[in-house]
Amino acid sequence: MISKTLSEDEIKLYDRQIRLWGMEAQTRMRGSRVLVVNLTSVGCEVVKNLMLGGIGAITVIDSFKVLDQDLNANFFIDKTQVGQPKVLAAEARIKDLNPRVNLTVSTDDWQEKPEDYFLSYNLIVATGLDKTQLTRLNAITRKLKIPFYATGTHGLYGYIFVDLIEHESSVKYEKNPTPKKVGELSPTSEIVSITEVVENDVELQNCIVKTRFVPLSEIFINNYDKLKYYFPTPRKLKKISPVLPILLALLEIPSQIGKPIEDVAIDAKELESKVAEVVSRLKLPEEIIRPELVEKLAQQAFCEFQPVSAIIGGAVSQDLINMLGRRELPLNNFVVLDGFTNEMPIYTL
Amino acid sequence: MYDSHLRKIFGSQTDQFRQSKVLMVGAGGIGCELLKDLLLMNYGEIHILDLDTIDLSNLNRQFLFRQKDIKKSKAMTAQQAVSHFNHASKLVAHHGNIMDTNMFPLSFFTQFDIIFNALDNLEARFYVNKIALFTKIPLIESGTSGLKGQVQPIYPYETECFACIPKEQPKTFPVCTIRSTPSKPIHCITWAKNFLFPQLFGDDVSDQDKLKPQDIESDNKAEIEALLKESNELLDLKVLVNQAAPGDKSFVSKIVEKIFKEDIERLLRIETLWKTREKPEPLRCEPATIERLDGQELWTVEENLALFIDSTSKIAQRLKQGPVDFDKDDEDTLDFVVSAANLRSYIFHIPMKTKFEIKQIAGNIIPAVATTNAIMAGFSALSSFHVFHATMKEKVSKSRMVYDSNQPTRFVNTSGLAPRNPKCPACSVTRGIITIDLSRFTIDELRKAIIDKYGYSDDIGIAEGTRLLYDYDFDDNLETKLDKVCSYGNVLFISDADDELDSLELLVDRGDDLELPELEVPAKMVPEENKEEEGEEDDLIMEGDDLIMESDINGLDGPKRKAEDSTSPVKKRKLVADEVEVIEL
Repeated sequence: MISKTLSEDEIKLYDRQIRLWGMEAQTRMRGSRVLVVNLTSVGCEVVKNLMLGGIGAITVIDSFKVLDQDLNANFFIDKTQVGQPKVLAAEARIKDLNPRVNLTVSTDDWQEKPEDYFLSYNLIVATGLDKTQLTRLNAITRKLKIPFYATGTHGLYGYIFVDLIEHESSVKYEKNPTPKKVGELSPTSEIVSITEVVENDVELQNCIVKTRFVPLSEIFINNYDKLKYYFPTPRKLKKISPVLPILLALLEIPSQIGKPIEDVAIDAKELESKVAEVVSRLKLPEEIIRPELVEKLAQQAFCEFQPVSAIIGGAVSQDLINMLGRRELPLNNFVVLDGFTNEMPIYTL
Repeated sequence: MYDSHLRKIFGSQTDQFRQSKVLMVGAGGIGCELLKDLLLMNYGEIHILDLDTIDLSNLNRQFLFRQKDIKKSKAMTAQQAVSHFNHASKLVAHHGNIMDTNMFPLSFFTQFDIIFNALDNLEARFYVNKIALFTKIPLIESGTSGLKGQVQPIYPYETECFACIPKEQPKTFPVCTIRSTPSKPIHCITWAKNFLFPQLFGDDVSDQDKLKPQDIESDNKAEIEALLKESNELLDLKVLVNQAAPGDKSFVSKIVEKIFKEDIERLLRIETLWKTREKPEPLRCEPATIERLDGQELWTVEENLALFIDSTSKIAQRLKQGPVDFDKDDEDTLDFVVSAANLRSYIFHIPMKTKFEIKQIAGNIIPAVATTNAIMAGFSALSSFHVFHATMKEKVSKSRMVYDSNQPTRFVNTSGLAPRNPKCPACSVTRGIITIDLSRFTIDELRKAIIDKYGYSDDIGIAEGTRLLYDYDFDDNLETKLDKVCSYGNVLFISDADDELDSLELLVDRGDDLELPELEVPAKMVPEENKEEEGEEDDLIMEGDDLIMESDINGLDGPKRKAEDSTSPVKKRKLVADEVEVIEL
């Protein structure tokens, strides 16, 4: 068992973040083991952030080899490494970010791993997978009660899916003008208890909030009209990002990561019909289907773009760190990034 | 091809990145992240500029730096650290201060297509903002503090600039709160750091710095007298500090006796102060024997006293080698501030704090994490591709300002770029660049050229910063060559003696002749009646540097749009005019 308190060296190294989330959260991070599936561009960002933050152990599993195109999307590799297994090429540079973190890499195919392989992790982050793969992995994380993040990017666009199953965290709200009460906070969350605190002369309520999540298989259908809570009128429903149904539809297409991007060709018409299906299943208004945007995303599908990876990877890492520290409201449960308008809505699907 | 992703997303625009030259000011938290993003976007040439060196506490987020790089230049280290993944960009690193006009004259800035600010202080931000206004180069401004952050693309004169919305001023406390009636830990920390430390260890206090009755902001005569007496006695203590023999700690007990007992007793005699407040209790305890104290834990008053004695005698000895300033990373000075603040808190029945907590307040430490920096740098890089739209209208309408959100329905807030504030002290000013050979022309020649060019009816005043070069009451320097009174990179401030035309700012750039920019100087706005500002409670200033509250220091303003500033350009100028000093040659 590792020591329960942080050493003086650790406190000095992590000073600026301990001042944000406290010693306890930092100690919890150090006690955590995270599995990152696929060292995609967004995977690199997640790994970088968690290494810097001082997670206890990280395993990166990725069976792909370095392609030319990865040189513009992966800052852990150099051009002499094209053709090598990607995680082996990146390993030394990842490790160098923070020698205190216990890093392991694997070139195996995660899909061939038995269920108990995943048991040794407190958290799993999957990048670049398709719906079939995600559903399978999510079923395992549900069964083993492991919090799960899935994320991917398509050019200027990206998504984050979160399934923490059930999660309790402390959230501070300003007491005035409308104090919170114990009970339902949203259709998927409730306040379990409240303690009053004063910080910098501001009266706050420190609420313990319990949030419930659904597995990925349930987000494609508007089962319980959950969207109605935040989008109660047809007019508001129309404000849902037109990128949402396209990203959901792209999940239905088999993952193309690890392939030369020149060989990836998504038929816009086919994608549009998948989008129409998603829209009808989610009971979204038909106006949300934007053919020109569908065409754009068909063109950019599976493309990696560094600033988008940084934003998505940063958001995943931050939520994951909050989750480990049991602080703040978790992302629940589908985040969309539109890198053209800089909008980043969160939908509870 | 390594850029095949980019080609699929951007088509022919991919080449525009490669043909562009950009400047990144700051290679710290946001800078390290931004540099990585800009490189992988294949910008043609990237200049990295930072004056800072690497510190241990940077390593939790500035991913280009390692333990072995501590104390090295950030700009240079960053340049080397990215070499393995730099496939397309020419990189130039500059270790220097962006505001150094010798190192970075105007011609340095004009080579860039975009400037990215990744700074941590307001002064440099305002400076680069001004450079962007002079050069009309698009500026992408960013800042973070903990989980908060924001990105603001600025198209000079087309959209809101960095100075259009007044920034929050550092919070300061009334002198009497700090000196006689503290009620919060921060009052005691301010007292220890900004009052007691300079009094005991600072350079000799000049008459100007001495406490004057009007500074105290109290109507209580007895309180004013007590504070003045206290100040004079402190000067005696300083003599003790200066004369302390090596190893001698006895002088410290005299300091303790005075500041934690006698001064408190004197305050207690002013009964009016304690009608509504709990009375302080003079310190009566003996120092504990201490070996090593845990900075995470609260210490007893006896432990604080022991540390106070220890740190005071250590600093007194170090003073013999040279001046000692407060530095949060200098253990002796931090120990002094922690123990002095806690002893004072104890006396005034205020909760004591741990060393870890006091370090944050006294050192203005802002929490910082990798994730927020990565996210905001990502948005900053994303914002840059809108610079390449064909028309200004398109650039402005497609760009978005981004800031953090705590709403459960969105990860960030976005808004369109606001139009510029007509009362902005920076971008409402008429300005241009004068190219001139300063060694060839006199002040008078410049004066005549300006009057002719812009149609000032009679005479003008010329100032550089707060130095007056010429006005009709001060014509001593008319025949002086300009290189004796100003240098390249200076901004000349031109005002109309008749108050008919608006003022003008001219940035001095090196040239062979004298060439004034094509500008229309508008008629002066009639100044509104200047309303007397209402005195705010926390408006008074401590001597020495003001205590800056966290998040102010890096200039984060947040999404709040505040009511228009009372400091109209007109008023600001008046202030400048009042402060001018006459240059001596």
